[in-house]
This record gives sequence, C-alpha cells and structure tokens, in this order.
Amino acid sequence: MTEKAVFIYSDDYLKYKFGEKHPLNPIRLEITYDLLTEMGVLDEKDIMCPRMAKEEELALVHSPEYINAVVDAGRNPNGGDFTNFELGTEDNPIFEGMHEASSLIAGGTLTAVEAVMEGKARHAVNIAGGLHHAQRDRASGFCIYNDAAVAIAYLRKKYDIRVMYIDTDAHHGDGVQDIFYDDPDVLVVSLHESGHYLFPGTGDIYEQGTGLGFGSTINIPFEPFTEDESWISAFERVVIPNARAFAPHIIISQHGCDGHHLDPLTHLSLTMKSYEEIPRLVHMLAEQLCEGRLVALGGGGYNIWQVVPRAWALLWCQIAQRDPQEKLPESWIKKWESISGEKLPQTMSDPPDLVPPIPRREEIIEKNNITMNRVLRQSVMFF
Amino acid sequence: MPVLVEDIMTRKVITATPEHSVMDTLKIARQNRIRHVPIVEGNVLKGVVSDRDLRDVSPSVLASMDLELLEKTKVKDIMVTNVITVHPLDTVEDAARLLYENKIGCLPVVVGGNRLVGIVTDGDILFCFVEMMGVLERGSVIRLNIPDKPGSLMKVLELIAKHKISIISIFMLPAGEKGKGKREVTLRLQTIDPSDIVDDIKKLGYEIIWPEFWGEKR
Repeated sequence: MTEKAVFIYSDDYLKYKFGEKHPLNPIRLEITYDLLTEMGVLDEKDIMCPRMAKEEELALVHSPEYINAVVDAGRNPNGGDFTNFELGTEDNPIFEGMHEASSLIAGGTLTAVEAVMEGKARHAVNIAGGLHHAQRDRASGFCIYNDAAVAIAYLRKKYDIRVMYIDTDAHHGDGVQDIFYDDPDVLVVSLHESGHYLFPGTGDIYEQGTGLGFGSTINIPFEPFTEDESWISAFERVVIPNARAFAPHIIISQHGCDGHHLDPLTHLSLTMKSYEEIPRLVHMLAEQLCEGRLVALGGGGYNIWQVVPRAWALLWCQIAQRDPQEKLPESWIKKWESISGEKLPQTMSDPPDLVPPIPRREEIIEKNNITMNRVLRQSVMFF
Repeated sequence: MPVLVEDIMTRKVITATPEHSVMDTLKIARQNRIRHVPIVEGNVLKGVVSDRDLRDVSPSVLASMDLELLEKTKVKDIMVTNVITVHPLDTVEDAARLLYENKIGCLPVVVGGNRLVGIVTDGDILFCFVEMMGVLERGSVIRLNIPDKPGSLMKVLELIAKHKISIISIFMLPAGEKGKGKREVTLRLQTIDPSDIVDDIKKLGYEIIWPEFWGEKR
C-alpha cells in the first residue's frame, strides 16, 4: 500500500460563495492553500482534482425534492421561494450555480474516499468538505449538501464497511448524526460546544442513536470557554477507547476550527495547541485501527485570517507527515496583509497569553469531567 | 389557552382501598414503581399514602422484621385525609405552585363529590417543562434583560425581523428581586450566527446575558 497523502483541491471550490458579507468566505481555502505552498510543504504531486458528485450519489442521503430545489434555485436565484428547504435565508442565501459548487465539494470528499479505498493514497484531505449541518431534505448552517454523509453512505453501499466519523467542529455535527442515527455500522462521534449555548442546540449526551443504531452515536458537549487541556482529555478518555472497541475500517474526520478562542461565532477557548493535537490523535487512530485509511475534511472556521490557514496547515502537515515551520513565510504574511488590511500571525503557534484567565475555569473543567464520565458510563455497555 | 391539568394528568390511577393492609399497599407501590397511592372507596377519594408514610411505618432493615404488624395495620389508619387536590380545569401553573408551596409530590385530580379522575405528580410538571424548553428546531440562543416598559420587547422583535430571521421560541420571565424593573427574555433564533442581532440589541442599551463572557459567579 502507498504511503502517500493527497490534498484534494481546485480553484473552482471558491465558487461555493454565499456573498461578500457572509461569514463563510471561501477565500479561507485559498489562503490556506497559499500558506502550504509558500511553506514548501505542498506541491503539484500531492494534489488531486475533485470530481463532481453525481445526482444519484447525492440522493444516497438527500431527498430528490431537496436536490431539485437546489438545482432550480441555483439556476434562477431570484426566481421563487425556497425557504421550505431553508434556502434563501440569511444563513443560506441562494447563489448562482449553487448545485454545481456544492456538488464539487461533495465530489471532492468522494474523490478523497475513492483515493483511500482504491489504494492510491493512504490518507486524503479535503479542506472544502465537512459541511456537516446539511439535512436530508434541507440546508442548514451554511451547508447545502452534506459531503461527509454522502461519502459515508457511498462507503456503506459500495463496500459495506464500518465507518467511524469524528467531528471536532465547535458546532454539533447534527446532519451526519441524523442521517446515520439508526445505522450500527457508522459510529458518529461529535465533540462540540454544548447545544444549550450554541447552534444547532442538539448534541446532548442522551442522543445515542435509535433502533439497531442505539449506542453508535456519541456526543461530548463542552461548556463555553473550555480550554485545550480539558478538550483534549475528553478526546483521549472517550473517543480513543470507543474507537478501539468499534474497530472501524476507515475514519472520516471533520476538522472545523471554529472552537478557537479568536473565532467570532462560538465561545470555546481553544488555541493552536488543540489544532496540532487533534490531527495527531486522529492520525494515530487511523494508523492503529484502519491501516492508515483516513479522510480528513474541513468544516467551520470563521476567523479566516488568524485561525483557519494555520489550523488546516497543521492538519495537512500532520497527516502528510511534513514539518510545519514555527515561523510563517514573510511572503505569505505580506501578500495577505495587503489584501485583508488585517494583522496576520507571525508564528504557527499562539502566544501563551492569547486566552485571558477564565474566571470559572475550575468549575468548567469539573463540569466537563462529569459529562465525560456520564458518556463513558453509557457507552461502555455497547462494546 | 393555558396548559391545563387535564392535558398532563395520568388518567389510569393506581389506587388502594382503606381496608387494604399497609403491606399490600406497599407492594402495590413497589410493583408499579409509584410513590403515591390514592386511597379510594368506589371512586371517591378518601386519602393518600406516600412512600414516606409507608416507610415511616415499616420496620427498619436494621431491626428485626415485624411483618405481621404491617399485615395487620390497615391503610386507613395511616393515610393522610386532608388531601390537597386539583380540578382538571386548573392550570399547570396552579398545580406547580401547590406542589412547590406545600412541599408535596402529588395532587389527586378530583371532580364533583371528590370523585378521582386522575393524578398529577412533580414528575409530570417537570416533563411539561422539559417539553416547553425542549429543542425541537435547530437554532441559536440569546438571553437578555429588557426594561419592564411597554414596547421594549417589540424593539427586539423588530430588529430580528429586520435581519429576516425566524424566531423558534420566546420565553419571558420577571427578572426577579435583583432585576426590578426588568424582564428576562430567552429567544431561540433560526440562525447559526446571531452576532449581528446581539450587536444591535446592545446598541438599544439592553443587557445581554448570553452570549457574553462568563465573569465571576452571579
């Protein structure tokens, strides 16, 4: 088997764009790609072009009515009311070519899955993917087609293998959870800021799956202002033993980096330490349990200048086993500072005093520990 | 239309008669996993025994068991007879207040002539509350204090409408002793990003409770 990691990318990814003022700005992909290139850790031979997802592949998880609505809305953005499908809202505005742009992202995740399953690559990274909120019959939270769910359904149908999905976005991975809620061969694990404080509101510990799939959904909700150490210890204590017990054939991971202290949409207090550690842990699990088979996706991340490029550069470096330099390239800083008018970070890691002292730190850690213990107690019975 | 006792009460009530022994009543409570047994003659309510009443008359597990006494004693001799009851058309708020103020766990529901038609327990009230607070639709939460003046909630709602965002639920409470002249509002909005709305609310001069950095204990 090949030792290679591939990076799925195309300039056409930038067409998944809801508008100039929308928080999900696809330029974050370009800034990340540019950082990797300038760092000299990504070159031509690492890159694989995404293909388009076919409609029948999208239909593995989405209803035909919803797919038709996306096609129609994207052809004629001012031509009707699609709010039944949560299209044309402030979160999910309609844009021209919406179906094609969304199909390319879903297709990119399929390209990643195929590369890994066909032995062309050991690992694959698709930073445009990870649109985990999209539901069977409607858009949600900036997500049109649920690329992760499409890829998991494709794996289940074509290979009938056990898939583990690990979602480390600050928001609960509700779309993926709902679509595989009754499938015992898909272990869906989501670590996120508690739904009592953050969108979408779901992801409580008692959401454990249904029917035969009862026990194959694991949620770890964190208190707001949770810091690196508490977050990582939950991953180590809960996710690792459950992954071992489940013994997946492949891991699909979602690497939203919006839990960072500087993210404008959420209230967690993570730093670049977590975004270095998470890919390391996920990579380790894939090596130990799946002969390396790993497809890593992007996700949320709304501080597009200070956070996203560094977090996903670390993701690629860890998975492709490249050496990330601590000092970021001058040329990259200069170029994007002139475009953004913002101060860009000089180093890969965050300054130690980035997060101000959290007044209720001890209570937050204690509450997170109680949550972890509850999740552990209810999950051990299934394996 | 308020939520009424008849909307949430249990209609199939498990009961005992005044002539039942304490032992039998204890068995009825244990087998059905209930904490309160209304005592009826026909369908007329005569009293209630709670798990605590039964426990009070049961011998300690540490002492020698005198089961004969439990079998001989009749439930009519230990039941509470001045029972606080509710009517099916009482509101759930009334029922909740009765439970809370009297520190009790159940309210038999009776109609004309003390005829038992149901029972409401603290558990039923809690379930009702869970449903009201429950997340049925996906959204973001904002909690704020608004001045207790006509039109202040309207200003918030107009602002949300301006952003073309749907409201999933609104919950409004008096802000309590500390917040005289204020009302606390919890809004669930159908959006992943409420930050613009939060900024606009702050511009109105209203106090945001969430999302806000957590200070020291309140």
